[in-house]
Amino acid sequence: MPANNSDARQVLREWIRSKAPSVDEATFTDQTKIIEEGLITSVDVLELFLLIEELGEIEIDATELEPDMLESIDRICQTFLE
Amino acid sequence: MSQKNTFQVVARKLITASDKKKYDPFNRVEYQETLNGDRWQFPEDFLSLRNLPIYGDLDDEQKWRLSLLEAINFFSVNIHGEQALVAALEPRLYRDKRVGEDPVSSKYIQRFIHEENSHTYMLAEFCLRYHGSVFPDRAFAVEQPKFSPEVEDILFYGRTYILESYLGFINQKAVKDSDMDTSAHQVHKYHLIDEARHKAWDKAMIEENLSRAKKKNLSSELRAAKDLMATYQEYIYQSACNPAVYRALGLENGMRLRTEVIASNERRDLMRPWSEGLAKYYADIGF
Repeated sequence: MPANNSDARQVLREWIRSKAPSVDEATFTDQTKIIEEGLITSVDVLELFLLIEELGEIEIDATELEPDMLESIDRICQTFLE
Repeated sequence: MSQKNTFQVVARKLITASDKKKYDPFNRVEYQETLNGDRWQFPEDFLSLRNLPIYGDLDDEQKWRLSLLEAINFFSVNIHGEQALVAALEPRLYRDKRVGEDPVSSKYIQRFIHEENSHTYMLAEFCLRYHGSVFPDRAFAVEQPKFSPEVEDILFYGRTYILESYLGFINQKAVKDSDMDTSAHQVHKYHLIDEARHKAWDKAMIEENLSRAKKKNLSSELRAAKDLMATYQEYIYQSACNPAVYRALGLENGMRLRTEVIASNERRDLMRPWSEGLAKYYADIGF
């Protein structure tokens, strides 16, 4: 069963923290631009796709994506999980 | 690269070698009507779950199915990588501003494109016949660097060399594995033969561009390109561990299994000849 939106957001926050342990907790929100601020790399994006697929029980094809679809947790949830 | 062995000389040799190996790209592989249930579709030692405790819990049917799904995953990574390669090679034809763009290079690049196109047909045919689809592409570059033409080409051919070395490493293991099924074995064998020429061209382009980049003192760009190549190498390494494969087998916690495979020392050791081969090559050419 797909994760609910609140659970999915929590999983995504924890995953981003695991990739960028030095992230500033005071300013890190669901609107933080995770690629623009260098919190994840191309290798991490592969894992992010796989994580979203598992959370949403969907299949993602990177060739159909626009970069802004991954810009923040808010945007990821709107694009893939809502 | 020595004067004697310029990229033009390499291109001429590769054209001759390519033309000697001509084949019908659409009828090269004899695809079986049905796959053999007691032959591997992917080398058992390279199954991603092979070194995890869960592998011992799988029955023979699940292990065989894992080998088919991992073949489909491997061939899918091939297909997407080669599609991107073909798209990037085409604009490199018949230009005159950069390295490797004189007519003899373009004549070789046309053969390169033709052979890559043949590979994607051969690989996709296997995926479609025995699985019904190709796994989706997961490559998504978040970095958009602006480099000088020489460093741009080093990054392009460097990534291509990483991909083709990886494919060649696995293909070689599959070709030597006497337990492989017929069609899968042929796909690996034909791919291995052609990739040897492609890697030679990648190296010629990397070395010529590196020589020119050093003369122009582009050391900071070269460092940045090398970092991006390292990221790509890790992407390729991790692409072999696909939770969709584990889910299709009915296994739970696909992401956790993937994390365990990637963290496995046995897996790193298994792939070490590939990674060490790349490191040695870069050291040898002073990159």
